[in-house]
Amino acid sequence: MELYLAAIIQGLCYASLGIGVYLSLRIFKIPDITTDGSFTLGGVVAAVGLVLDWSLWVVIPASMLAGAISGATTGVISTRLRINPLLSGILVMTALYSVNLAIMGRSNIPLDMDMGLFASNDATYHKPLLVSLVFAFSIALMMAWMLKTDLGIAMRATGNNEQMASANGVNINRMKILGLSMANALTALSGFLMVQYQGFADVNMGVGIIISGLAAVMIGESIASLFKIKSVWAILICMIAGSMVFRLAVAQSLAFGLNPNYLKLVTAGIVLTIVAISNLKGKRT
Amino acid sequence: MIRLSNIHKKFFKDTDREVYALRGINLEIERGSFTILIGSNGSGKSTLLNLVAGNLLPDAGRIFINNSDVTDALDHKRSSKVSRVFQDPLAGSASELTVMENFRLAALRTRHKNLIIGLNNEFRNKVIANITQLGLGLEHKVDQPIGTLSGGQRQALTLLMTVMDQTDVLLMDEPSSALDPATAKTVMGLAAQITRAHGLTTLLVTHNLKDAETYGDRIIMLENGSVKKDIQGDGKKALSSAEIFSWF
Repeated sequence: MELYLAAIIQGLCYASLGIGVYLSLRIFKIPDITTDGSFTLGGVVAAVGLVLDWSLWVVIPASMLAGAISGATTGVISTRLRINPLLSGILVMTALYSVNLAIMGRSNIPLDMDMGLFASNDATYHKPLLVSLVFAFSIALMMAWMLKTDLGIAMRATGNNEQMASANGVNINRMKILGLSMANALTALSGFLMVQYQGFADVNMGVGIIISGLAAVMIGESIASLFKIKSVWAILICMIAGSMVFRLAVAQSLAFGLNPNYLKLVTAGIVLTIVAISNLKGKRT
Repeated sequence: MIRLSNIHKKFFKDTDREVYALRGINLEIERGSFTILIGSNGSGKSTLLNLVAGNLLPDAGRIFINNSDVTDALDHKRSSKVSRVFQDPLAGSASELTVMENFRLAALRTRHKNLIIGLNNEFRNKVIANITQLGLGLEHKVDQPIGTLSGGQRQALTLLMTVMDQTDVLLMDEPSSALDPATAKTVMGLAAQITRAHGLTTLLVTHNLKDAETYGDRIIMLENGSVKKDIQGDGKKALSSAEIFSWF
């Protein structure tokens, strides 16, 4: 039972990563690999801040700001220097490895379990579950609201039809930079939560993490499609559900006795299966 | 008013595929006039329209709109003065956004896109009233993604969207060429009505000689990037499509 509860909490911690990937991949149609670096960056800033005894009111915005800057850097490289967004993301992600090492001063930082958001007097999962739930739903609520505002409409139009958006006075480049900043701020928030949940920050903690975000998006969209969900708010809730389902699937694989060495292989396999089913289903309809 | 002063534009410059699209175009298009732009494929019509819109920048020459030099301004900056209807009926709207959201964006063309929910009841009622006037029954579909509508319906809505915010210049690049004859007639009639009602300076690129005969108070024919014919006033009124055809 504990394994599945832990998986649900992890799924909730990764939910803002999923919403971030949804923003970059689905709203802006940009495959943004910065994610792997900005997730770690958010975690690293959180760990350093907590070790230095910063208030959480400072650590949360600091982590998100760091993520936003990394996303903006990718945005500036791809729009101003006209470098393919995928390559821009890879470049920034690679650079962030050194940045993360420089911020930490070593390859990992352990945290006392009485530090941060999940610190609790008892060893139950109540507090982490509640905190991660509040974070996930607050983020979904804020993003749903933002996407309904005039700015959100301009963002969605940018991803959907650049020519039309530009003809209606939207500065496409600025909008993409803003979108990637927001997406990576959300990803960094996920790193901030995971570091506190797992009790350490590691320079490699973000390697391949985009798969978790993609899985949340793909599974979330499948759920939305299954229930014919159209509203932005409900779709974002589906992303949270997608993130949890993915973590539960991984937990189930471990429960079946999977060698942890094959964990990344299995996670990639799960995402591949979901994408393939969704594509093949789309072909038949 | 649109003024083009000695505009030159080449594509694939300094390569063996170089195309000299516009060769020193000088034009002054009066405020509130409706100008038809015709010419064979490759004559430079769409290039000229894209230069006025800011999608392309000229190699040489200056572009003025209402006496402001906009030569170096990109399209999103010029959108405060210029609105567009594209040849592709799907290009002028965002398919994943609802009809209402498309209209909201159009209403913000000259304004900042802020963190406020602008789709309130007042705005909705205004849009529904405008759409009802089209007589296409689309007022019941305002909350549907605009991508679920037909090309003709989308083109008619795009035309209506151009006047949701203040605009001086309307650029139309063969807006009815991808539509069936009945829808094309509706769209062109709507275009003429909007142009008149809002006193817009309009440039219409068309291959349809009947439209060239019916609409506009001035006709300009381009050939190999230069102006071959430029007729306005009574001369334009007296033109028949057969006579225009003889120019080709």
